[in-house]
Amino acid sequence: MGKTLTIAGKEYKTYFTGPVAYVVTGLFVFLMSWMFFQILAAFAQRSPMMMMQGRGMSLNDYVFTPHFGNVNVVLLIMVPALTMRLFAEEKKNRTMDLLMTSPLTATQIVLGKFIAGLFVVWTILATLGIYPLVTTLFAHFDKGPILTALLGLALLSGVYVAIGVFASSLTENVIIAYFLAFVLELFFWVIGWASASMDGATSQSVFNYLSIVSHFGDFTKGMIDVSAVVYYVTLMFFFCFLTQRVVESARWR
Amino acid sequence: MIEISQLTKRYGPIAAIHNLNFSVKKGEIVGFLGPNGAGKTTTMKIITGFMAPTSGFVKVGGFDVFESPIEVKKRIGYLPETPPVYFDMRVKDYLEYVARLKGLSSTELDKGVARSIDKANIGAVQNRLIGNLSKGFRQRVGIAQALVHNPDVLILDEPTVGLDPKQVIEIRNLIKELAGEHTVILSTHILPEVTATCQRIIIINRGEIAAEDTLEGLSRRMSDTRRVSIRVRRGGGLDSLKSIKGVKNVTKSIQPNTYEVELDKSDDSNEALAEAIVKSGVGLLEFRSMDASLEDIFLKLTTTDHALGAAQSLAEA
Repeated sequence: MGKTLTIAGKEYKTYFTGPVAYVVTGLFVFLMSWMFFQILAAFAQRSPMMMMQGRGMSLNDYVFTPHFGNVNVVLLIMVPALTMRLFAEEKKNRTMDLLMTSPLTATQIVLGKFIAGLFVVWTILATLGIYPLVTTLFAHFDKGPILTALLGLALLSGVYVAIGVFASSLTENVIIAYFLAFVLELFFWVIGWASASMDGATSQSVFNYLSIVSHFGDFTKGMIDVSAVVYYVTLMFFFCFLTQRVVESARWR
Repeated sequence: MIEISQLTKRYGPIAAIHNLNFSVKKGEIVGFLGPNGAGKTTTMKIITGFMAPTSGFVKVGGFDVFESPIEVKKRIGYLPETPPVYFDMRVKDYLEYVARLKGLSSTELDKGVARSIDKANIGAVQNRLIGNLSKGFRQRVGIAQALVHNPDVLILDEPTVGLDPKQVIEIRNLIKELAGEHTVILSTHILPEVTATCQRIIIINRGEIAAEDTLEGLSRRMSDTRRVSIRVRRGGGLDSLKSIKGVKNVTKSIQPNTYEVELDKSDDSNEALAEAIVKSGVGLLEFRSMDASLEDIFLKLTTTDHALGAAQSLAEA
């Protein structure tokens, strides 16, 4: 465990010794703020009209749910950029030799990298706290769904990081690592589309269950669905396991 | 300390190394010599547990590399061809990171890092970013990295590449210092390096061991005749030397008044030759042994007959 954390700590620090983490965080906050403001402005415009018709709009449903949906899309594009270098760069710069000839297990190496990626993404996600905090100053809304949505994002980003780490372990080219991770993530988004073309109710529900986004909906509604948590954690384990096999295979190839 | 038995590594149909057998005793410095692509790096990577062989086994300090890789890796310090350094880290932070990876406790850590900085002589740059260092300094950081956990075995893949002549001498001296306490295997294709540092030489060619001996042993083994170069003040009249017992051939060299004599490999014939020249009164200026140098041995062992023939005909032309 100690060595896992050593690797994780080193990798985490690397994001912050260079400009990477600052640039990504800054641009992320810029983009999310602009999007949030536009949603909020549209809400402020429509809300009084709806009130007059006797149908009140909740901030949760009309502002925060779409906002977190946007975050999800941005994560899809952003996380692979953060994870692409984790293994690919080590291989390209031949620093992988150091890890492979040190008394480390493949599991320690993979977990170290995964934890580092996860914490970097979580650090960036922490900036999402700004929006509900600022909104409480002038409006009332239900805090519960915000917290579950953040939990959902934390889990979802874990899946993205695991996929990204896996993609990075397959190549020494960061562009390939990025694109592979992006496509894999997107595939898990749209895998649920197959349910539309399926006849049987069972196969429909299987493909729906496999989809990353279908689980996320519940979190934004304030629900913590155990099957969704299990699903996300299973995917993280699955891709970490695959990565562990790839790293281990370097020894006998 | 290191035992290698029937080691074979294939990349597809190509055998990078084939049926390698050798052992290295504790405290020995062994030079691993061979032309490019001979299998030096492959062998070293297998010893470090970086890759697995197709067949055969390697034992380091009694541990099998494949059955207990962690135990073996604790005992090995490895400097690959490209020093495995992170350009965005500072030298000292990097060495601390490596020390932790090698499993040093926090009390041993500072000592290990300080010692390796001292041995590799990089104290002046310890707070600088590795990416800003010159190639020679990066190479030295690589050496410090291999030393940081004070390993029993050091595997150095071309340790002096990219260093300036002064640094090369420093590193060679460092390697010599390590003898006794550490077991060192170093690979190189720079011949004087082996002569300067190693006690034993393993010449490897096309994945097989071409020769394994001490430096003197190798030179002696290469021929049963000794060649001596003689320079005298007054030329001519040295043909009579042929009649001396043990002398096989006398040829005139291109240089004036210089002769090359081939004679039996015994001190008696050497003495007889020297005596005869002095008595003949031609004025002996130089009497030099022309024993096969490591270069000659290396070429002889690693060059095929065909290539050698081509090289010779080129020289004649």
